[in-house]
Amino acid sequence: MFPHERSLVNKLNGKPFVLIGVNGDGDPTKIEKDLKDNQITWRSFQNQRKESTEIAKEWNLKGWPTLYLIDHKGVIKKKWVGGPGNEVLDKEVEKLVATAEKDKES
Amino acid sequence: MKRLMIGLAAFAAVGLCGSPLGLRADEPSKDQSKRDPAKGLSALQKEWTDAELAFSKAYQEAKTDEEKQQVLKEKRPKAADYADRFLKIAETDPDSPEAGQALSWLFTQGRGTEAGNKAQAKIPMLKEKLGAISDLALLHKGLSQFPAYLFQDLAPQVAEKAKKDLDHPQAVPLLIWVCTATLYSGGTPLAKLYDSTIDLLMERFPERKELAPLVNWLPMDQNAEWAEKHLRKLIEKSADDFTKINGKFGLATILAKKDEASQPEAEKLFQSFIDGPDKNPSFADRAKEELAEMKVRGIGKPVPDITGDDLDSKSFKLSDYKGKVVLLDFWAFW
Repeated sequence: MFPHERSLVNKLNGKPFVLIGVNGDGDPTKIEKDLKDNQITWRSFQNQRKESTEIAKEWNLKGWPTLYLIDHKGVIKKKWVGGPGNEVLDKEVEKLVATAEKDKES
Repeated sequence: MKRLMIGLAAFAAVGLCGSPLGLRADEPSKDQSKRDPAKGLSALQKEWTDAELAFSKAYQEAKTDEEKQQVLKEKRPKAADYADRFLKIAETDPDSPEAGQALSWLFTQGRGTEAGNKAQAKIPMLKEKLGAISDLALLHKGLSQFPAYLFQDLAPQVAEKAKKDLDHPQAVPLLIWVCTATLYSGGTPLAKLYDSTIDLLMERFPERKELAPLVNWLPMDQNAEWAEKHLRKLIEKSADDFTKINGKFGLATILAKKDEASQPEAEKLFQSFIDGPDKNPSFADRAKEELAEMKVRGIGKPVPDITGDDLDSKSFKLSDYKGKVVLLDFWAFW
């Protein structure tokens, strides 16, 4: 999935869009090489938190990956458990980005 | 009694099963399992499950982590201690149902052991045997003794055979086998076969009980629109009450993720498991969970904020990105 996520991030560079991860690997120092090799440039929360419960637990996650698509007003618009296909993902993201840009103009 | 796999003689003659030529099950032997492989197999299976049960009991009773580690080390049954005996049964009379069951154990629990590897090496031969069967009932009997995914490459020809004789009572079970074998083939040419087989089953046999597994597969399909269409038809046409009710639950989970317009129908469906016409204790608790989740993180709801550290241990908030479209992606390398 990474190559596609990377191309989505690159394609929408400069647009009102951001990919935010919640990474479930645990100790981030142990995935430094993987992050570099896979050119993971987007920002991610560490799933495990010192002060509070795991994000995935708080969010009652049913499986990895799970994706939520949130519009520019902060409203949840789509949810996929197990990851959508690339085409579906692009279509839904681009639809919301277009709306966000239109709102900005008016 | 019909034989499970045809062509035993050829199988044994090439020596791939490991038995010395001429040694047949009906020859006198000191080995108990050879005289009565069924008895030998069930005793062995019992020995294995007893060991597993004893282990899980001991593990649950262990109080500290240290004790748990100790139990793991000492009591966890080792497949290698059993695998040779399973292999012996598989090779004694390779044509028997017991041999199939013994191989199946070696393909799953016995994976990675020496005997398990020997069993794996038989797979190409088994594929050839199973592929040569034209009788649909025998073919189904032969295929269903093994984990379907191991025989995935047979799926196209099995589908062809079943499609040529759709009125045969085993045609639908075989098409379901094709789906089971190709279920996780996303991105490969077999994924198309999975889709078209489901389409065919839903077109011709939506009422059949054998379609029950579809209600577990469809809700997790990437193509939610396609899955929704088929689930609706199953709920309407299935002759099996459990398929209908399970299908409704699956449909509700698809709708809950779909879009804002679908939320009322999803809610209504979940609610019906709690106090409506589909009231059902085995679904009610899950329905309550789903409804609670819909209220907090449902489609159309404002996203709850997240505060945490990024991978450089800098604290940030999801709401820092308000004003932008956000794809929140729970991911990992593992």
